[in-house]
Amino acid sequence: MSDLGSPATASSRRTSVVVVDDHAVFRSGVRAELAGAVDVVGEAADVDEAVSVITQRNPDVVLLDVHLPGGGGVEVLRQVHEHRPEIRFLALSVSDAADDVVGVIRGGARGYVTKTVTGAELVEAITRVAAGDAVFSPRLAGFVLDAFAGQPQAMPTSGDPDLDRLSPREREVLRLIARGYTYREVATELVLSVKTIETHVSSVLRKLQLSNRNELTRWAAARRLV
Amino acid sequence: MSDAIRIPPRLRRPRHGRVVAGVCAGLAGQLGVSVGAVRATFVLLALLGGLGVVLYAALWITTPVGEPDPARPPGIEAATRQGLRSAGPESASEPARSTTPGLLVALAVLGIGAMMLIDRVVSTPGGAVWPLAVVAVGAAVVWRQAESRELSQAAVVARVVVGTCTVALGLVLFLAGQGELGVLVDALVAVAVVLAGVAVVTGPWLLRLVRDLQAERAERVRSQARADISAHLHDSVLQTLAVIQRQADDPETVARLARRQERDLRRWLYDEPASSDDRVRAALEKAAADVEDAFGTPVEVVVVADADLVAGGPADAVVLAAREALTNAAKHSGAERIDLFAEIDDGYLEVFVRDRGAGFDPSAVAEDRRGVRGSIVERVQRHGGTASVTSEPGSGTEVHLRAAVGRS
Repeated sequence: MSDLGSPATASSRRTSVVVVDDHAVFRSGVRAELAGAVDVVGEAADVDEAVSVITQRNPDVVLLDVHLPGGGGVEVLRQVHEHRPEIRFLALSVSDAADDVVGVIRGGARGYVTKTVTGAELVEAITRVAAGDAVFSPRLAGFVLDAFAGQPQAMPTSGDPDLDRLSPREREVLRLIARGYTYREVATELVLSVKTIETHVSSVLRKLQLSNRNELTRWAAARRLV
Repeated sequence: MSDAIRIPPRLRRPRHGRVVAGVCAGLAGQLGVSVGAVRATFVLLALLGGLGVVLYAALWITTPVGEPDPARPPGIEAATRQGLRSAGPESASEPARSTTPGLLVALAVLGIGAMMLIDRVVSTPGGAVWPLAVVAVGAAVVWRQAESRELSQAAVVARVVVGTCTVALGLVLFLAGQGELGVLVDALVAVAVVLAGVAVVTGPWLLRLVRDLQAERAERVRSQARADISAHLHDSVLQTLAVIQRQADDPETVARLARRQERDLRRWLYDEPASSDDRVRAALEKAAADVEDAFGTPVEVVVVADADLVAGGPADAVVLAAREALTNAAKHSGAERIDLFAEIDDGYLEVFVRDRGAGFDPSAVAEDRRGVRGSIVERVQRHGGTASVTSEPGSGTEVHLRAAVGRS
């Protein structure tokens, strides 16, 4: 665990955040919503600006738009993580395209929320990401279930077969998140601790980032069947 | 998206699933028939006088490499074009010409095939084969030039001259070999051969002309698509913005209008080309949209996989029950948001409708209240499914529906 502690104690030192989005209106909206809860220490509107602002300000969390001039959020992740792998990213997007969302997660983002998320939910997600946990919105949970659906045979293996499939418990956790449960509610439902749920979600995030499996997912395959 | 303009996919030679150059695989994909049948046809044609070989080689030369263009929603297309997203792996299949060695092999095959064909059909004396080979090489040089657009003017001229000379030389040799034929025949053959030579030399340019025309047509289709986008924005977004300004003092209506517009635009920009309405996913999204419109409560829809929907069947019953559950949640719970999750797995459709609203005590609901019992639980049970309602005052409600829908 890092020195940032759990979400409960992180409030002792306010989380610093950089907002990266090419729409000024959205940036100022987010800034207003986050005011008082976290410190917005910088803003950027494209990939180059984002990389320089982030490396300069060294924030705890970067709120990253998926679509961004200069190559998209994935490009920011790649350039920043080359030198600062410790900086955490939370993707947020208006695009619901599965391959974009899965793309930034595979690029290293620790979570994904849609832009329609409420202020309180966004603050909670930022705090969680700052603490090193993963943030799965219901939609992302749905994408992941879709990506790992079916049998893993006839798929390119990642060397480690465990990477290519979700454990029954992980599936259970994801399905509850897709149903709209918070981590706490999932924990209550499964009679587990919130910590255990966080571990499961982080493990799913790892599989999503490392498995080759989702490159041949159902949605990608369906898309090419023109 | 029924009004979307579709550009018919052009014939491509796929990189995967090919045996020689992917011609058969590409054709099979284009025509919607099995690869085996196409291959058998080509082999049969090849045995019947070499026509199959010639045809194959000709398609090899004229068909670009690559997978068929995947149709992507306009928002994704635009974002890719503007560099807002890194183009996915599918864009690696930009139409690319085959490399020079491949093309040369194709040309050699074309030449040999042509000779075989001519040998069979005209039954020329043995001496005619090599002059024809020279003709083929000359034509190859000229064709090659027409394929590459980046050559300098001098190189173009040099190639055309060399190619044309080679073709002419081959024709002269051919005619010399036919010397024992009568003068009249000679003249006729000469005219025919020269015409054929001209056709061979100009063929590539005709081909390029046709391609340019196709490109132009595609561009026109694109500009029509742009006009469609403007029209769409005008009909939907501008109208909504106008209404919102007029309703500015009614926050609930404004939120509802904005949400509806957002949903429309999002679907239009990012969704897969709408699958037919008789699918579970589409039906659930429609139900959620209707409830949002009617009550103004946002519904977060997450659907994993999809299945066919038969009117009156179990999937239909589950969707109708889910609609009822959404309506109840929006009407009575007072929740800010409703979550709808559906999954089709292993032949079963499961739907969860959850809200974090007021909740109620299920045991205290009067028997004669039709809502939950009749329209949700019994409706699903009649189709052999199960339905349960979990609720507690103060902690919201969750409706769980499950029915066998068969494997999709």
